[in-house]
Amino acid sequence: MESNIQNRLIAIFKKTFELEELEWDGNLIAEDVDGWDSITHLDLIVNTEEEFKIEISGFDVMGLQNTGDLLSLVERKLTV
Amino acid sequence: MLFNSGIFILFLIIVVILFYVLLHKLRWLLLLVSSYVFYMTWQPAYSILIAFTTVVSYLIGNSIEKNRRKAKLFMRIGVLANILVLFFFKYFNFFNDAIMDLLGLVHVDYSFSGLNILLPVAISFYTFQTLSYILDIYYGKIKPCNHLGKFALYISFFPQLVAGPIERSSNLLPQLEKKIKLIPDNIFLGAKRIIWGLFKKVVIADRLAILIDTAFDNAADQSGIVLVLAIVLFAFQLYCDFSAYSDIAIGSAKLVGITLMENFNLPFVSKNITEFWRRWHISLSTWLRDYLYTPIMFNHKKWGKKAIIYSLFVTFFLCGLWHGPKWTYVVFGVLQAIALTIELLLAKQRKKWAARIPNWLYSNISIGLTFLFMLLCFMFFRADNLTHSITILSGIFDFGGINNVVDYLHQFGLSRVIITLGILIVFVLMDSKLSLISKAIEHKKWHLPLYSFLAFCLLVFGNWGNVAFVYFQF
Repeated sequence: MESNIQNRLIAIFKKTFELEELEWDGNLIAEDVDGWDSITHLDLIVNTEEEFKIEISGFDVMGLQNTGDLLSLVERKLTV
Repeated sequence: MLFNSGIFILFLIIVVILFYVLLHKLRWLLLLVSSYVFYMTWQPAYSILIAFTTVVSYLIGNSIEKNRRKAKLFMRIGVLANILVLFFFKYFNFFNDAIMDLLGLVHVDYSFSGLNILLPVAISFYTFQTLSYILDIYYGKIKPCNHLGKFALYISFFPQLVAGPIERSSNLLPQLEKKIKLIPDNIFLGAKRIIWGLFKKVVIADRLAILIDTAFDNAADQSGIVLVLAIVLFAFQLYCDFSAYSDIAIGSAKLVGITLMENFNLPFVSKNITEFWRRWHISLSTWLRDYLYTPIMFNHKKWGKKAIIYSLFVTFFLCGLWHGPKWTYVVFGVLQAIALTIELLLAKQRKKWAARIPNWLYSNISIGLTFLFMLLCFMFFRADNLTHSITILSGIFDFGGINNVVDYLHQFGLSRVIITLGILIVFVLMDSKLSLISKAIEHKKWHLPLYSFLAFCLLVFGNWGNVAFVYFQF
């Protein structure tokens, strides 16, 4: 179940940032991702919401430091 | 106590010596007392204000953590308390005047002429630090500090108190708790950074100021060429003045083994305004991005691109206003928002243009256009008020005669102008290469001659007229 969420997140990242390949790294931060800007940041969150049918608030986003945090957030939202 | 003064150097030497003599457990107290002493050489009475803000923010931070169910309420109280203090002491008269003008338009007689309030030094900087602390705890990014004294030191730490860099508690607090050993390298690095900062301030910025102030003070009488020259020089004066403060702050902190964040990274090589704000006043722009821009954008994410544009305008309107209660700063901020919006909307188009011409050409055109745009913005930044900006702008298109330019230059003596401009050019070349020089030269034998030369320049060419740093007024 966990790796399923992770795989789906990888797919979202690849789609948002137009990447061919992505190796999952929970410590990945904004600065490390090629093509990260306000638009792709926004798209990432919106795409994640649509994919998992969850609501991510402004407060939720503010707590995200890296990709690992995003994964944890999605897991939390899905178990509620 | 200005950074560019003998008394500050003396103060610094005493504090550093005492720091390494004292036991670790007393060092925070030494630095805290020194920081308040430093602050009180500016405005003794207002040390109560910074103490108040400190205590309130400390208590709020703990309340948020201990009572998560009421976290939002405590956060709002803390943020409101900080903003109200900032608003009252910095912006009250500005908004009062604006209301008066508005009501005047509809012929309502509003005769409250405002309060006689003195702007507390450093308030824009330390308030942003307390706000970042409260918000970081609220968003779960950090745990609150449980030592009021060390927290008070984080807020008042004298190297960065008066004009930044605006430090996050996650960077500065842990360092203030660590046991610091006396490492000679820290002393050398700190001293070098301070000398470099003083050189920029006293030899470059303050010499340029003489040329620039004369041009702008008589803007109506100057030819366009002189005004354009003054604006270009002002860009460098502002950069040298402000980055010098950061250098001296970073160097001073380094002397006691503390690493502050970098605030500037060769801003004038920026190829666009987006990049410019990653290279200019980095501690402010990252603060605005993290605590204003990002939350606003995501609270309106359903708007898509419009959320980003809306957030840009709110953030940069406030960025402009942060610099002071003047309409010229608001114009400065709004101009930034407009440029950033255009860059956002044309992002794909610019990539296409870039693909069509050689890299070097695209880069240089980008750097040139960005610099020109910033010159316009800096003009507003420097102007006394909107009327003055219009005088300068219209003056630029009056090319006058070459005689006017010659008269202007003769005021200062040709040799003095040449020396000032010469030093500026040398500086521009050195600034970009200095880190490369330092890294490439493995044997530190070159550092002593280089920094001795800079110190020599300080003594011979420096304008030690005790000119205050531009950013102290913020």
